[in-house]
Amino acid sequence: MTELLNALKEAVIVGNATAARELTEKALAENTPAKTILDEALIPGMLVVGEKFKNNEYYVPEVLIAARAMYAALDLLRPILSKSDVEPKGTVVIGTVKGDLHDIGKNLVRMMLEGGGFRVIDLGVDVSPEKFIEAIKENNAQILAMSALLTTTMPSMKITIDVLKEAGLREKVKVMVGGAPVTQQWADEIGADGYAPDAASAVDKAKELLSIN
Amino acid sequence: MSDEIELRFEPEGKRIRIKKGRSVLEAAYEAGILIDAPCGGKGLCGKCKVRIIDELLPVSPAEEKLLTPEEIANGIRLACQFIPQNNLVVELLEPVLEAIQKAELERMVVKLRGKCPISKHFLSLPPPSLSDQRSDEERLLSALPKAKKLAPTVISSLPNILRESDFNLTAVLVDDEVIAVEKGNTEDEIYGVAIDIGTTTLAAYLVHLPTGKKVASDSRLNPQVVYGADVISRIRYTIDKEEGLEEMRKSVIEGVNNLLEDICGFTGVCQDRIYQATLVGNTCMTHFLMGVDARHLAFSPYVPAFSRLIKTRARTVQLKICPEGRVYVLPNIAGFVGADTAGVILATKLYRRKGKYIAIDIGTNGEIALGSEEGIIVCSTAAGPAFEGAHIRFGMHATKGAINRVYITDDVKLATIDGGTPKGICGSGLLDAVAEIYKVGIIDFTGRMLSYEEAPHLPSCLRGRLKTVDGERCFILVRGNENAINRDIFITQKDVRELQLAKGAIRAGIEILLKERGLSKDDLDGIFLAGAFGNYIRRESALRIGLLPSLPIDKIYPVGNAAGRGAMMALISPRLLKRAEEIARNCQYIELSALPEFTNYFMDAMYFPL
Repeated sequence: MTELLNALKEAVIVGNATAARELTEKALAENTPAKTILDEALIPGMLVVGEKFKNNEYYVPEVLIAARAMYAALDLLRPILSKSDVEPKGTVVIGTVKGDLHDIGKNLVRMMLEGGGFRVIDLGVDVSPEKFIEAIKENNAQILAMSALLTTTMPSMKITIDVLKEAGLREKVKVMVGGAPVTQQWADEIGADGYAPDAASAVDKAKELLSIN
Repeated sequence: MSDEIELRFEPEGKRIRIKKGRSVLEAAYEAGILIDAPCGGKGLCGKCKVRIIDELLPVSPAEEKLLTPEEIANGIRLACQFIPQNNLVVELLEPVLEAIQKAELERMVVKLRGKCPISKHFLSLPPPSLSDQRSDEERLLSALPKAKKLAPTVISSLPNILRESDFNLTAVLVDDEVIAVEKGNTEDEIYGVAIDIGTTTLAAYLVHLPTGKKVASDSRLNPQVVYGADVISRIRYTIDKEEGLEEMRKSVIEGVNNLLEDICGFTGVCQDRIYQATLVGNTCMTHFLMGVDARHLAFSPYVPAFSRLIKTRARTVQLKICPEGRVYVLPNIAGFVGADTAGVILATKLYRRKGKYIAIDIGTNGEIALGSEEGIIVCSTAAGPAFEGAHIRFGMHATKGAINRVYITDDVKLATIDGGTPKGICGSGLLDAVAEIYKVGIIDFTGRMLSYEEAPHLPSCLRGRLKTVDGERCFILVRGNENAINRDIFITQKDVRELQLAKGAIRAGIEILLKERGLSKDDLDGIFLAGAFGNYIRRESALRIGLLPSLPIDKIYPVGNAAGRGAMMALISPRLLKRAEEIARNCQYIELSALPEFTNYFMDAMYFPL
């Protein structure tokens, strides 16, 4: 079984979606619990991908290809996981802020978070504060993750945080921000709880914010 | 205690008093000193280094990250981070920014003869007398059958000019209006100027209008670069700062006026004898020029305030030519496709060319136009500042000491733009370097760089150039003992990634336009490469990294500053000015960021061709 899971982990790292699907089917046929496949193949695989991304050995295309393999496996596991009482590490509402249509960076973070065992509600691009808040309430999210690629749309992050306060939800969620022009200083300035410079670090940050080891 | 302090900038010796709380960078701008700050003073790029003499203040986190301990020990600080508390001496490390001679790139000789819209008439008028008490105005107009009116500023100067010239004067006519009167006979002096306002560089072309001959051209850095390398940072500045828009407007018009002053200085042409100007620039630049709020350009759905041809007068925009001179700002095509692209289309004749051609203007943004029987389709890609040296470890503008050519065989050979000792690397040098290290297998098709350990198969003098700095793989181009900065100049793995982003964006744009028209690369009859960058890159390298689809190299035409040339054509020919309007109106625009399939194209285009 360990061999099979190792092969699946490897398939995720090199981005072989076909192999990932087949290996997952095989593991399930051998009665490996879905949670074990997730915890011992997919998550560790994406962790390696994240490490490689962090040190620039992998770039966006390789991460997307790896994520495609990860989803090929995860899509098979999801129906089983949702039936069992396996709890996700946490629920994250994610989106690119109002006025901004850039989604590649945000998608990377979503993939990394899902590959890290989080449940992610992706609201897409050009997301208004109201839409964020609605989704947080509806899904009982613990984390709000916002992305912006233009310096001109960064203020939308602050506006969203302000609306969050008005709605009395600020204490209920941790707020993470990211995107090319975003810095730790900006995160501090607008009162966000966390900033990550890249998609892989975003997973570490999310775990840190929810005190998950 | 006063809340003002005085800074002195050496070696220029300029002094300025500033309010406490402002950074050295802000003080420098106020003093009219340009310090290169591609990130716009946000403490991100680490390029605005200065030496602070005899003043110790805590080092900011940004400085800690971007400066070496030796630099900090030597008093080197980031101008954007340092907030002086007392009177201070600041030593500039890079005295004044110099722009490359963008205007010199204007390669093609203009062979245009339009109907000159300006005419000059030397007149010897009868002096007034008690038997001829006509007003000065009537006296002038009666000698000019075609003229019906005088421009307001002409009326105020007319009485003096008439009398000081003994009634021998030259009237300047546009249509039926006298726009200037000049003492004596100046009939030969009819000039116009075409101006290209680039995000990074301003270029001007002085033209003798009756003959259509270019008299001179010159370029200089757009002074707005101090507010950030890209248009978005500059727009952000106008949002964050009250008066920011006015500051931006003044900055660009002053830059243009200084450029005109230079060009008139060395040609001996009087600025007042320039009667017409055409201007091109990207949408954001033309908004700033007109003092129009550009913020809506930077928010989805990216809408410009205006798009049509602007006809105004020099005095209205404070352009220092003849005050009543006609000023035309060429029309914008879409949010991020501006008058400069209209100029490129005009200059490359994309609108009437038989066959299928692509024109790419690579600057801070990359605008792409595809012309075919079905008309012209355009898009804009955020090529980003990588091609201009920003976000690149040893990146710099294409100025003195910039590496612009790299050749690798069994060792590295390179050239700098001025033949001098290397200081850093500019966009064309980076593109070359990446193409060459890909050629010899130092990076693979995904852009991943080999480590020293992984490269035993490489010749030793290449392998020895692979090293790891701060945990990042890099390739040494020039060793510390062979260059001007006394430390190794290298390209990092991250630099390769930045280039992949930039070239991927442009290539994706090309592929999407082709797909939109149902064409493949083999249907193309040629590609025009416009802009300083497009002109300087080696076509072999552009093909090798996949910036361009693989066409025979002789189908790729570097055309220099086509935007500026387009402006010049519109200056000389009223017919082409009108044509620019039609081009802008008829171009079909594609917003790439709204296309769901963009990501796929972009990802494919980031890879290097096998």
